Order: sequence, then C-alpha cells, then structure tokens
Amino acid sequence: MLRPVLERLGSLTIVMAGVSLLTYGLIFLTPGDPAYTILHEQRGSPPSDAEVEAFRAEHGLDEPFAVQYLSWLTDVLRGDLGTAYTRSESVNVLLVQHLPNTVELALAAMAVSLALAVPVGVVSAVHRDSWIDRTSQLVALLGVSMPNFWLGYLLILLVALSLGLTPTSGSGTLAHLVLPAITLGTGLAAIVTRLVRTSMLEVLDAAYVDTARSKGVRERLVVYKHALRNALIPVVTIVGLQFGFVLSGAVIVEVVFQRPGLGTLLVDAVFARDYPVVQGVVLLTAVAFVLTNQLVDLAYVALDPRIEGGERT
Amino acid sequence: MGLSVSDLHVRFRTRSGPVHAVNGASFAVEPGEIVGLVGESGCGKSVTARSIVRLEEPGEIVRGSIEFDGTTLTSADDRTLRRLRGRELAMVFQDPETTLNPVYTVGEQIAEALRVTDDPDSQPFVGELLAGVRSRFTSRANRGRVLELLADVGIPRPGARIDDYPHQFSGGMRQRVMLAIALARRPSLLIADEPTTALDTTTQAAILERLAGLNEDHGMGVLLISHDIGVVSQLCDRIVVMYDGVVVESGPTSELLSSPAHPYTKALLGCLPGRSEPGEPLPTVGGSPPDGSPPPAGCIFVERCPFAREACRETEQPILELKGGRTVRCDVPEARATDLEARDESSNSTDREEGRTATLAVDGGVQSASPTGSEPTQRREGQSVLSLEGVTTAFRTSDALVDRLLGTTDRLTAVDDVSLELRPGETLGLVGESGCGKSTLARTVAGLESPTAGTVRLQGEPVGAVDDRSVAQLAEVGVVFQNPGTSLNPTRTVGESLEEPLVEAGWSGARRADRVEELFSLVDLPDAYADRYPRQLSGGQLQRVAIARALALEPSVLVLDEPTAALDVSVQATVLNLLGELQAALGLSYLFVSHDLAVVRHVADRVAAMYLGRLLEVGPARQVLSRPAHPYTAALLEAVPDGDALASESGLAGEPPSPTDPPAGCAFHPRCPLADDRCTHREPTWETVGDARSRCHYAKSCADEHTSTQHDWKQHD
Repeated sequence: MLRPVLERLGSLTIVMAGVSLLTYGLIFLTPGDPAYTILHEQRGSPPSDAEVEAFRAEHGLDEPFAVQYLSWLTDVLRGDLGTAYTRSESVNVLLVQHLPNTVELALAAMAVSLALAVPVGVVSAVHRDSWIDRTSQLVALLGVSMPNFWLGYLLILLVALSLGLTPTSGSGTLAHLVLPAITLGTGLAAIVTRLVRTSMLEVLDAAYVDTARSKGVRERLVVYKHALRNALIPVVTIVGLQFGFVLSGAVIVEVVFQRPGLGTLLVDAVFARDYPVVQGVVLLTAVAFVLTNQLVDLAYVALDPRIEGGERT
Repeated sequence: MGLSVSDLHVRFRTRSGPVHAVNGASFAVEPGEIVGLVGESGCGKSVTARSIVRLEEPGEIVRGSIEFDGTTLTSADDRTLRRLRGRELAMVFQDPETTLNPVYTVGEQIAEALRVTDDPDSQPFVGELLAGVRSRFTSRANRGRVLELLADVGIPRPGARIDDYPHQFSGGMRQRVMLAIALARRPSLLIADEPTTALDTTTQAAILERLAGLNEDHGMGVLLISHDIGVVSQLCDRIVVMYDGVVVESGPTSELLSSPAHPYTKALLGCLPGRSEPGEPLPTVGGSPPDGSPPPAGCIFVERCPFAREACRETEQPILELKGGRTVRCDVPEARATDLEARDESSNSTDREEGRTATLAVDGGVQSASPTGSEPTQRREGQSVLSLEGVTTAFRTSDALVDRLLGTTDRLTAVDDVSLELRPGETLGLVGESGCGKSTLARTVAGLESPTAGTVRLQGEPVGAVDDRSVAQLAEVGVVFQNPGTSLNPTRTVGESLEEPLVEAGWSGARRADRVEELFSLVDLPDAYADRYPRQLSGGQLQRVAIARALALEPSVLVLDEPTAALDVSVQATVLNLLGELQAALGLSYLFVSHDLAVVRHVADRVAAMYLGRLLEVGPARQVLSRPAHPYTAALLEAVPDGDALASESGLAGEPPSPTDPPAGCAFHPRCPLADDRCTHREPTWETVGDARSRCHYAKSCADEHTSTQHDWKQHD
C-alpha cells in the first residue's frame, strides 16, 4: 500500500511545480503594471515615478523573473503565500477565511447533482426509450445547455424575489446555500445523468448481467447489485474531473449570489491586480484538483478490483 | 417430461426490418440426456438456448412454445421463471471473459446462486447489496458449500481462490467457476452455449470431461450448443442440426455422423479439415449463408443444396421419421441416400474435368476449386526464406516509471531461445496452448516486437523490428491476424486498406489501382467491393481482404496468426482452400500459427510445438502429428475432439505455469505423465527421432508408444 502512495506523492510534486511556474509566469507576462495600478487606485491620482519605484522595491517587483519566482517558491514551501498588496492580511489568512464557504458550496452542488443524476440515469437506462427516459434526456439537455449565471439569476427572480422562499444573496444559513447549490449542481447533474444512462445501458448488455438473471436473481438486484456498481466506475472518473469545473463554476456562482468565498476573493484580486492573492487562490485550486484526482484513483481501487494498487494481485 | 421446444419462432426488430432468427425449431431433451445443438453462426442456436431460459431479449418469441417438466416457459410469469432458473434450468455462456461479474469475488457469485436456490422468493434487497460489499471480509454461512462446489468443478486449492476476483483466473478456470455457479442450483438441465469455444483444446477437453462426469454423477441433462461437431460428437447422446432457425436433422450421435441424411449435415461434416487428406482442397458449402430475412416458402436450404428440385422451392419440406429415432427435414430420397464419400468424389471429379470451376463460396467469394498441395516435397530446396537463431523476446511485467528505475519489475520471457527455419514454399505450423508464446513469436518475425536476444534473418539478412527494416525487407513479410473484424480499420473502405501498404512503399497512383484490382482477383473477391466498408462484409470476406492486404507488396512469407479461428467451419474451409491455392500459385512460405491441430495437420508441411516460450518438438507434420516424440505434443493431439470417447486419463492436467517463473529442469515436467527425477533437474537437449527433433529425455519411447495408439492420424500417411 505504501508504494502507490509514494508514487502519487511524487507525481503530485511534479504537477504542483508545473502549475506554480505556469501561473507565476502568466501573471508576469500580463500587461499592466501592478505597482502603478494599485497606487493609482489607492490614491485616486496618478502616482509619481519615485512612488512606483518604491512600491516595486518593497514587493520585490524589480527583480528578474527567476529571482522573483524562486523567492516566492521558497516562501510557499515554507508555508507562506505572501501578503496581499491591497489589504493588510496575509494570503494564508485570506484563503483560510474564504475557503470554507466555497468548499461548502462545491460539496453541496456535488451532492445535489449526484442525488439527482444517479437514480434518474439508472431509471432512464432501465426503461430505455420510454417517456421517462425521453423526458429525463430532454431535461438533461436543457441542464447542460443553460449557462449557470443565467440559471442563477432566473432562480433569484423566481424563488427568492417572487416567492420569497430564500434570501437573494449572502451566506451563513442553509437557506443561503440552496439556490447556489442548485445553480452550480444543475450542469453537473445533467452531464452525470447522461453518463450514468450510457454506462448503465452498456453494462446491462454485458454477459454477466445475463448470468445474474439466469441465476434467478431478482431484476431489481440485477440492476442495483450487478449492473450499477460496474456502471459507476467510469462515472467516478468524470465526477472527479468535474470537481475542478465545479470549483471554477463556483467563482461565477459566488459572484451572482454575492457569496463570500474563493470566487469573489479571486475576482476582486484580479481586478485589483493583487497578484499574491491570485496566485494563492490558483495554487489552492490546483492542489484541490490534483488531490481530487488522487481520491478518484483510490475510489477506483475500491470499486474495481481489476485495478491494482495496494490490492493483492 | 424434460424439455421440449416446439415450433419456436424468435424475431428481432431492427431498424432495417425484422431479423428472423429462429423459424420453427422443434426438439426435445429427455431427463439426464446429453443433446448437442449444432449449426453455423447465425443459425439461431444461441437464440434458441437463450429463449429456453427466457433471456431472448431483445428478441421476441412470436410463435411456438417451450415446455419444461409440465411448465410452459413461454407463458410463465417472472416469479415462476426465477424459480426455475434458480433451481432447475442452469445456463453456461460462451465467453468466460465476460460472463462473470468483475467486481465481485467468485465466492460471492457462487454463494449468491446458493442463496437464490435455497429460497428464490426471499432475496432481501439491502441484504444482498451488503453481501456483495462485504463478501471479501467476512466468512459466510455458505462458505463450506462454495468450497465444495469449487473443488467439484476441479479448481485446485479452493480455499486460496474463493476470495479472488474473476480477473485473477485463467479462461479455463473462469469457465469452471461458471460451471460451479450452474451446479450450485443442482439443476436438472444444464444449457451450455459454446462453453469451450473460447478455450484451448487442452482446457476444452478437461471441461467436457467435467460435464460428462456431472451428467453421470447427478443425472443432469445437458443441452450442449456448439458450432464444433467434434466437440458435440464427443459428449452427446443425440445431435440436433440447425440451419437458418430450423432443425434440419436430429438423431443419435453415431448414426448421424456416420450416415447423415440432410444435405446440409453432409456439407457441414465435409468441411471439417480432419476428414480430408492433408493439402487437398476441402469441400465447401456453395451459396451464401442465411441472413435473417424471412424464410422462403419452400426448403430453407434450397439455394445452397446440390440436390434441390423445383418442388423444394415451393413446398416446405416435411419432417421424415427415419429408423433409429432419427428425423430429417428433406423429402428428396436421392439427397438423403447419397453418402458423404460419394458426394465428395463426385464433386472432386467435376472439378478435375472442368479445371478451375468457379462456384460461389459460402462467404460470397468467387471460389475457384483447383487441386492444391500437389507434390509438396518439390519446393523444399534452396536457402531458407526465414530463419530464427536463438530468438528470445521478453517483456517487462510493469511499465511504471518507479519499477523501471528501481529495476523491480519481473521479466516475462514470452519467447525463449527459439531457432527455426522456414523454407521456400513451405508451411510451418506453430502449435501450442494459449499463452505459450506462439503469437509473440509470429509478431517478432513480423517485426512488431523486437527480440531481446538472437537474430531473425530474412533471405539470409539479419533484420530488426519494423522501424529498422528497409522497404524491401518490409515487403518480404505479410501478416494476417486472427480477427479480421478488428484488424481492418472500420473507417476506411477495404480498397483504401489494401492500398495503404502500397502508399507506404511509395507506389504511384496508377500502379496502386492496378495492384488493388489484381489483389481482389487473387483472393477471389469482386473488385466492386473496394468501395465497401468492413462492416458491410462477412467474416470470411474480411479475412480474404486481410489476406489480400498481406499480399499487397508481394511478400515471400506470410505470417498467419490463427487466420481461421474466428470463422465458421464452412468459411474456414474456403479460406484454407484459398491459402492453399495462393501458396501453389505464388510460391509463398507460411508461418501458420494455430491452436487447432486438425487445421494444422491439413495445411502444414512441418510442425513446431511451443510451450512456455520454448520449442519442444519440431518435425514433418505427418510424423509429429502421428508419432509425437514429445509428451506435450501427444497431449495436444489427445485433446483434439475427434468423436472418440474422452481420453481423460492421459489428458493434460492443470494449467501452464507462469512464464515469469518457469519451472527448473524440463519446463513441461509438472504436467508431464512421463516425468521423473531427471526431468525435474536437467533440461533435456534436442533428441533426433526419425525426421523430427524433440526436447525430451524420453523422446524415443514416447514416439514408440504413440505409434500404436494414434492410428487414426496415421491413416493419412
């Protein structure tokens, strides 16, 4: 069991090094001088050259790229993501403040989508080409096609403003979470429903499903015991990969619902050219992305005995 | 009582109209009887089998009835069906690769069958789901019975295997697990749909023997469905022959085989390579096989029947009762009376008179029947086209980066120190069980694998893998793979597939077009097929295209890797005939890889037997296949189903050891009936016996022993 874990840690390090270099490099290449922009914003008037020079020297922006990157990287390795340009808090503190809200939203969205998608996908596949199947397919198509900011505003108009069932914005209570979670989960639910359906159809055609039927096993058990577990194997990969997109979708949904979180933090930081914050958020998202994929691999081992990794062969 | 199927009609609805799979099949299986249901692919035998357990979906039973012990299965409700499936009617499917659920342990899958048998109506939902999840971790009440069943079907060390997953078993062992699942129900009838088709002949022999034993011990009736008359005749009391969804003939095995009455049965038996002289063209069934269109008003076989009369077209043939409990669906006395040999002779003599008479072959190819294999000894001169010297091909068992850096991966030696020669115009048959390395050897010759040691020489020149070969060297070797359905690119027309090697070799457009046309005529396909896609062609036609592609650059060597294993016997006959003609016309040398010894005996001049990557015996086909000088070759021969009673006591016990950890001494000693102390310690060197060489300490005595026992193979000497 130790070897595969070590192997994964090794690949994790390589991926993280690449991600950090890439984000740092991209920001370095972005047009616009952060020193000028930030000072202009703070003082309300164009800053003098001397002031810009001083800001650059203070934040190490006058050093060559390699030096900047390496000093940032050594700080990161020590666990220090730097200090925000526009606020007095350190990036670490900002991330810790904003992360829980986003994680809450992402998990709620995943939960909503899976709770919806798996049963609907299975029922669609079992009753292939029936009205249930056609309806769910159509709804899934709508779900995939709708941009989530549009669905968000639609829900705010309908549920929050007209019916007054939930608050329109903010965070803190379960009522605050409902609309953003539905907004964010719909797209994923649509994708997963179609995936579960396709995967189930394929598995229901498999010879071992006939073996189960020929044993005299009840149809409900044939579907849920023999077919579903096999059908979930490809679904797990996609859901894992989609987690990254849920995080990026959270950025938009948080803005729509005015929820404090990594998304709003990132958007504000980008507008303010607050690069340490941008890098911090991107790095954190990348870590989350990679870790989810590792979790997917582990889930695989649990679901599919054919995949080696700790299992005896 | 028992099972009776009467006037069964099964239809499939497809976008291009209904497919008529079964068109009025009627037969019966008495309690405790073993009945064989034979026919070519597409004849409706599998659909019939599935209909019996009512798993015919997506097909529908449109007419007829199936009765079992007084219950009408065709109108039974789900609950009754589940009860019967759980207790009386067990089914074993063809491909053990896919018939076991990959995510549950074999123990749980057997235990589930036991639970269903004990109480078909209970099956608690949550309880069953949990049983699946925890199967590995806790022992269960049924563990003892599961262990018994595993032992009963011949799985060694059941205690160690019960918690293993299906992928940890070999094909033969998986099929035994399927049998255990079936036996868990103590069924009164076992329906086995091609149970051994996906297995080696040696494994097949073991499984068939097990079936026979179960029939004897438990009085279990068996309906054995197979395309292989050899398999069926070995085991069955009675045979039912199906064609285009209709039973054309049925009767006790020995009578049906010795004097078949229906023209189709005669044709089918004639196609078997084991029934003809080696090298002679095999008789084929004319016309094209049924395609699922509505059955004609008259006899279903009329289009392909050499005895057809005008009346056969219009009126349905009655079922005639012959003596000895036989029935035949043919009303033409002449057709029933003409015996097999007479028919062969008459067809051969017309061939000789008219020269290359073109007849439409089974697969729709225009087949020219010309005698081949004449004077095979004349083409044995000159330098060898292909020679292998000490060729070894090994693989890493893991490609992981860490394993490579640490050097922790095991090496799997698929081909181990093989030296062989292929002479001009010769066919060398390479035989052995699956996993013995014969395909790797073929791929090494073709340059698809590079040898880790030793040299491959083409026309005397050492060559490497494909990337290192010159254009001329690449042109020397053509390759034909087993499954033409997957070896041709489905998105290209067959014409484009044929052209590809020519494009790679830098031929001009006009020259390519000429060559493609020429190739089509070489393999007897109309060149209008150039614009068709692989899915529009039948298996036999596709294999013709694959052969044409291999011939594109005028090679001197064809590597044929199980070229007919995926084909029906009648189609196999036409492809083997084609290969024979091409060899005679073009002076080709064949490296013919096959696990089917009947086919190898028919085509090969010399035979090489391979085991665990090593050659164990090499020699002239006639000698090796009649007087094997190695116990391994002898065991392979004994496993060939040939209508004799099962020769179980000398069959190959067990499975080949893992190639990553070959046994010391003679690699074959753990399974060898002759093995003694010497064999476990010293690897034998080559011994010469007659014209053959064998790597066995007891080569001579082995050959002598088999001189007397293998007379039916010797007849052809």
